[in-house]
Amino acid sequence: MGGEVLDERRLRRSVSSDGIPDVALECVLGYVDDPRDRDAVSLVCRRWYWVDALTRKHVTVAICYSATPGMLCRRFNRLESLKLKGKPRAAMFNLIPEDWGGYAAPWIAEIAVAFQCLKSLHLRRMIVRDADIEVLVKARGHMLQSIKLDKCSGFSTDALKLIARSCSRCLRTLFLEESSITDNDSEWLHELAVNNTVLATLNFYMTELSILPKDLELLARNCRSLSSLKISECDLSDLVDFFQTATALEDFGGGSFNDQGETNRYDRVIFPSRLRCLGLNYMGTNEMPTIFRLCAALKKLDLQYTFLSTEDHCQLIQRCPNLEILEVRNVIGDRGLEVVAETCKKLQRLRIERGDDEPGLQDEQGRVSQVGLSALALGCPELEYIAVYVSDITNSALESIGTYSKNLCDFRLVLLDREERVTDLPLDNGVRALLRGCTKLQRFALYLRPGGLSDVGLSYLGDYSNNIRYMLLGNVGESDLGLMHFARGCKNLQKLELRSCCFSEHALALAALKLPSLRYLWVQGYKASRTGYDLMAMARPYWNIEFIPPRPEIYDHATDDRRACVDSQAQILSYYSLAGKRTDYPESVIPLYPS
Amino acid sequence: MARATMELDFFGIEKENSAAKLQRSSIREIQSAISRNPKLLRSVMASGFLSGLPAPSIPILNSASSSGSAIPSSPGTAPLTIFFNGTVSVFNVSHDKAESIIRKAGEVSVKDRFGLENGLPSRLTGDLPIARKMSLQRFLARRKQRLSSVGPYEKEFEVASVKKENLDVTQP
Repeated sequence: MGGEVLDERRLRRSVSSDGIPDVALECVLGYVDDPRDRDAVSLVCRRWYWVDALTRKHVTVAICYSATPGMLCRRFNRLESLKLKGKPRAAMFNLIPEDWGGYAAPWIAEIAVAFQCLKSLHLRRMIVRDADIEVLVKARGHMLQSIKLDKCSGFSTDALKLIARSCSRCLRTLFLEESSITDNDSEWLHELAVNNTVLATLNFYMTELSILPKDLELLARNCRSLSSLKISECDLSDLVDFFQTATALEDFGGGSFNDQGETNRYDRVIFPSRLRCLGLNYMGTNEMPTIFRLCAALKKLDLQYTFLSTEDHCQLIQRCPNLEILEVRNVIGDRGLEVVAETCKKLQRLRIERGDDEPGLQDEQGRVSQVGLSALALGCPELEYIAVYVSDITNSALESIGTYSKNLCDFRLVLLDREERVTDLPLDNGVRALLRGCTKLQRFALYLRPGGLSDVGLSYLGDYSNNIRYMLLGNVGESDLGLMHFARGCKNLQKLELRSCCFSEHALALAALKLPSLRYLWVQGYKASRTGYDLMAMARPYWNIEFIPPRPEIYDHATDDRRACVDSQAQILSYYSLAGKRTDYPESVIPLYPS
Repeated sequence: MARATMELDFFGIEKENSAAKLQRSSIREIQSAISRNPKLLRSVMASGFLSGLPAPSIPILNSASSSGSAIPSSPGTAPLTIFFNGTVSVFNVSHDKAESIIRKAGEVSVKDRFGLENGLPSRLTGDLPIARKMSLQRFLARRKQRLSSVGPYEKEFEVASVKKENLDVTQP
């Protein structure tokens, strides 16, 4: 990445040997957004590299330690939109120590002095302090249109107050979903409502922030473009006035039905007529009718945090023929999936999360199996994304998906561990059929149990995953041999997560070396060597290796309130980095380097 | 003076398992017995109850008091002898410390109990249980709370406490 910074005037006047003026090249590249296309463009020649560097609008840094802020700025100093990711994905499952890293401070310091065109910043799973926000808004507050602090931690409502005051003119999107925010007071929302008139998206869903309904009403009155609002828990009966005022609202999530059963408390709640996306916490059978009016027009429905039974899901979904995105827990059952297959012909994305395992707390019909999946594949040909926790599975269900779900880009299947008997294992042939049939697949996750996928099946994963860039594999394969076969394929695999597998350190290291596109590897549960030295087989320049030793963790047992102190298993995290060694390792993380 | 290893057979239960292991179910009973009367530990050791199966003689590490005698070496403390994985350690600890050590050991063994009782999870998914997303974990905990409070009075209380969490949200 050397070379002098190209002067803009020189750029415009010059015409290269191929006869294309730079101005024309810039115009054409303006239509090229896909990062991989841009990557290819930048490799053509130096001139194209610089034109790309000056015209690229957005960059995602997949792990914030892969480059320094300075490096990013030297190449892309005209960036308008930046997304940074910190902690590994496993942090969402509470597997990563809170102090692992992912500090926003150095990036924000660079943004404050260098990125003059930045309008949009998205930080995901990072540690952000109030002081960092202060630096950010002081320098860029007048320009920032979108701030997303997504599953972040380390800041308080004081930072939100600062944002509300400093970004009042331009801020259209404020996204805080699932961040851990210290709640000092609710004034930030009041400040936002009073100062801002252009806000279109506000999201503090799954935070513990407490707010005053009247501030939401004020926001609705002042921000006439407010189209998406997702909030923390706030009884819906207190939002009657808000819903009457927010006539532009198309997307609402959160709130809660605190009072269930026979009550007319929610009779006055009338949702705005333009609402197309909805998710209401703790909605039960009796509260369901409040949304019937909207169902015919609904495009997105989130039932993950509701108290609905299998039958309720059937009743509700059969009224929603225009659904494009559906998120549920496995209480939907095979029966509910059959209703989806019959009704939701436009369905593009389906997520079926894992419900309660405890007997008595979850619907007996609340199991998803090959029956529901096969119906789904047949009934919903537009599906692009399927993520599902199943209790039972067969090869033929996976074959059906391979046959009918031709638009599938993202497929994730987890086989739950409650049932001892599974109809049809191993899933070698089904997996092969799915991979061969779904040629657009780019992301793939398969989490099984010992015996779920043999070494042969694992080699199929390698052979038939041409376009897959991300994989999460759990309990697959039988031996190191399977992993070696796997690593011979997967030519586009960039990010690999392995959990609870039987592979040795040595095999993991060799696989990391073999996989041609691999730039990120995360492993938990493997055959450790006595010294950990076998891992060093993958040591090479620009490849960071981090070891997270086992830690004592509190493990909540499913069937009672007892908690056990269990040692979590060790983790290996490895990634390409131009920045070299991290300088901010906590005690819970051990960097491994050849001596 | 080297002593043969002592098997602590608190309740005179015949061992079916290997000599070095205590019955899992008896750990809880031992715990509660000791917490009721810490001196019980000392007296059992002093009585030198020998097992049917002789264990190989194991070197004693860390004997803070020589050969684990029943006389405490400092006021308020008593010897705590721990057999683990082929080694023996003896510590002089206070009553409270002994309790907390035993409690901690009890917690770890609960994992084994889980592994046995619901042998399914650890057998079916290797050694790692399938991790849950934190967002869903939080939701399921709240759901359990609500479902387990049944009856009009509990319900009111629950709604009231939820209201309290949401501070002044209910003010008109």
